[in-house]
Amino acid sequence: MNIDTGSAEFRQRTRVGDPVFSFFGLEVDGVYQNDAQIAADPAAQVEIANGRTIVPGDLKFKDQDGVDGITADDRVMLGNYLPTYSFGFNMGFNYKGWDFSAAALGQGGNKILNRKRGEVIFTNDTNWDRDFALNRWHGEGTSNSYPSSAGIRKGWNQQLSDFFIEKGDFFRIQNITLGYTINKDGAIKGLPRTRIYVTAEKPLSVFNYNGFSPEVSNGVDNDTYPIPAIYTVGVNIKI
Amino acid sequence: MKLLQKISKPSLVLLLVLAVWGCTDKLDEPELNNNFAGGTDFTDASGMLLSTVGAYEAYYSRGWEQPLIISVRGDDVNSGGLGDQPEFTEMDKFNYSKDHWMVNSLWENIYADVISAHTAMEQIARYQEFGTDAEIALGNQYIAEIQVLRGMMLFQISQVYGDIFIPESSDTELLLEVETLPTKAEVMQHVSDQMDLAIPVLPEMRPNERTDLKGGVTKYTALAIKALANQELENYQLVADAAGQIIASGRFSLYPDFYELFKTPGKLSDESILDLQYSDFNQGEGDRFAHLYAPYGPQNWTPAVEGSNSGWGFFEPSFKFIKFMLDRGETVRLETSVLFTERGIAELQTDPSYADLPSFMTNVTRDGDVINDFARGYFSSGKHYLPSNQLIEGRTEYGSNKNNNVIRYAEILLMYAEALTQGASGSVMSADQAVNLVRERAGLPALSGVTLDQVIDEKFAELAMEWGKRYYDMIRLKKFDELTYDGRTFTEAKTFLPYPQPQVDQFPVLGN
Repeated sequence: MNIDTGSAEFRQRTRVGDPVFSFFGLEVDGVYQNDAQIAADPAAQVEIANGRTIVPGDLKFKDQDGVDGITADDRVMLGNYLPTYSFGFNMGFNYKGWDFSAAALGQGGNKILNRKRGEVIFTNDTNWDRDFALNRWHGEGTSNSYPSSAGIRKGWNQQLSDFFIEKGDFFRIQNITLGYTINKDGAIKGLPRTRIYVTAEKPLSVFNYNGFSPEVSNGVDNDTYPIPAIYTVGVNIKI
Repeated sequence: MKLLQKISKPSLVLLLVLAVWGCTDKLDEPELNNNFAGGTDFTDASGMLLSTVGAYEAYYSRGWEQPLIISVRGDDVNSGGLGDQPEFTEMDKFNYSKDHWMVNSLWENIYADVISAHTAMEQIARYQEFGTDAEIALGNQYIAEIQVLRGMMLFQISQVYGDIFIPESSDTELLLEVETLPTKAEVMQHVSDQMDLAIPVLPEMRPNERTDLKGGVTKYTALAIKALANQELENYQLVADAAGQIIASGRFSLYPDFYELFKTPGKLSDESILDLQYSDFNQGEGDRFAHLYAPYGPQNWTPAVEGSNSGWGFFEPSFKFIKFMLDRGETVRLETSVLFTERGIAELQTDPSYADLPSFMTNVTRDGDVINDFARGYFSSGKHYLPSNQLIEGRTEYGSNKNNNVIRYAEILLMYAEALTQGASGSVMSADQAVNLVRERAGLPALSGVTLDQVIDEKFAELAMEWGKRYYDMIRLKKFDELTYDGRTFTEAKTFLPYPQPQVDQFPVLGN
């Protein structure tokens, strides 16, 4: 018994023995580089016999069961959006007039559906991210994970596969503050206690995911707004 | 903490117990028992009309892709080249993908609306429990109307997918228990039977004569759908009987101007039997109940009314159709069915037999809209075009305020004529008379002794671009070679779209 969620085109399946809401699709096993590879692949030959057109630059899917070409039975669990680990830390110190604090967090093992790329299914002339534009297959040996520009506009390559599912691991510095307080102990009469500080909020995020932000609430990145870094300089005078 | 200390211990325990109760109570309650109509007063029978309108709204609210999927495979129309939806083009070429979103969208949305129809009928039955005799009778009429809409939806998706589910109530769980899928013939028979139940309860008038629900379903809509379903079953005598009854009523007539029939002047004319109705409510802004006609429109035009939006170019009348019409000496029907571009006309003229074209074939419509060349196709559909000067001032969406004709009287006449040439008998008029009524409006000379082939040609000329009627005729008549045209190859195995994979996942019976 399966519980299917997500949209029909981007299926998430929950079944006994697997993590909940796992993305459910085909596993990419490279990109056909030349006609010889297509001719040598039995699954591709079955598809061609069924009337499909497969050309170099198309994704090669793993034929999990080895029969009847690439069918619905070749779909597998491609991971889910729940991280296997997440971490965070806070630190801070004070030394004489100086104070410093920092907070960071991160997670790993989760998957994100790059639904922005998936939009190509509905809108052929949708925008593409830089990573795909630069690393698309455009001739033998140019990519073994991304299809060609023409290919991504074909139904074959638009089947849900781990091309659309990316690692969501990230590390982010949430907040760093460095401050210095003049006349902290009030030793100088007539000079107010004054703290000057610099704060950077979310100054650094490290991730490989090809969207604007890896923090996507339910693992489906429809249109996440990029997260801004905010830098603040402040003066705090106590009179 | 002070606050907590003030609350006595027994009352704290009581609070916790209550909380636990509250939770489990909700958890134990099955979803089914939730009253979605929450608080509806079923003693107020005027609410029946709201349920009925809801069912109409569900049927009329067709996503743009759905009529296109139903229609595109015919030899009358193409996808408009490699556009924005390559898999739609593949469908046009009879290469189907069970994974494509469109294949699923048609199935999913039609079934959602069939289920809405059942919900509406079940709601009306609840009002009837408290109603007076007159209210019960009115409720029966509303239920019959909704059955007609439901019947049309089942008819259309069975044409597309073949064997399909027949939901009998709003409880979708029951579909999971279906062990054998009803065949297409069983679906058509079911639709026909439902129409038989509906016919005696429905008002005897034209849809445009209804004052309570203008353009709503009447007895003649049900008769028309009965004729359509029996045509699929090749029960030609029943087709002749049902269509004959519509003709014999004397209530319907062909709208005299074929060009305007599909535009504002022809809206809800005496020819209309079933329309998807849309409206701007005669206002230039604010609410509008609309269909997205842009896919049918040319990608580039210079409209007579500046600022009117162009379309997407997804629905292109075929060269085969245009040549067929020229060969027949058609005038107004060709002019109405096709928006020409200069590029399309030039391409046509490369065939020496079509070097001289009639003067109405220009890229300027009667209403002064100039169709410019666009990359995606050579032509656009004229039957889905509303001249920019007929748009309500302030509205700019392509085809806004236009109705979509689903069944019109011309088709009834031609169905009747075909049934007679297929061997059925009919006393209301001869096949010649029926066909000649249609030809007369088209400005063509009368025929005598019409043959089946002549009727089918007449249907092609009259009904092209409308709901794939041509495609399903070719399937029914097994004229598969007609569908092999302009570089496509059709085989009988391509008759139906595959069941969408997401549905197969949910209903394994579809995978057997």
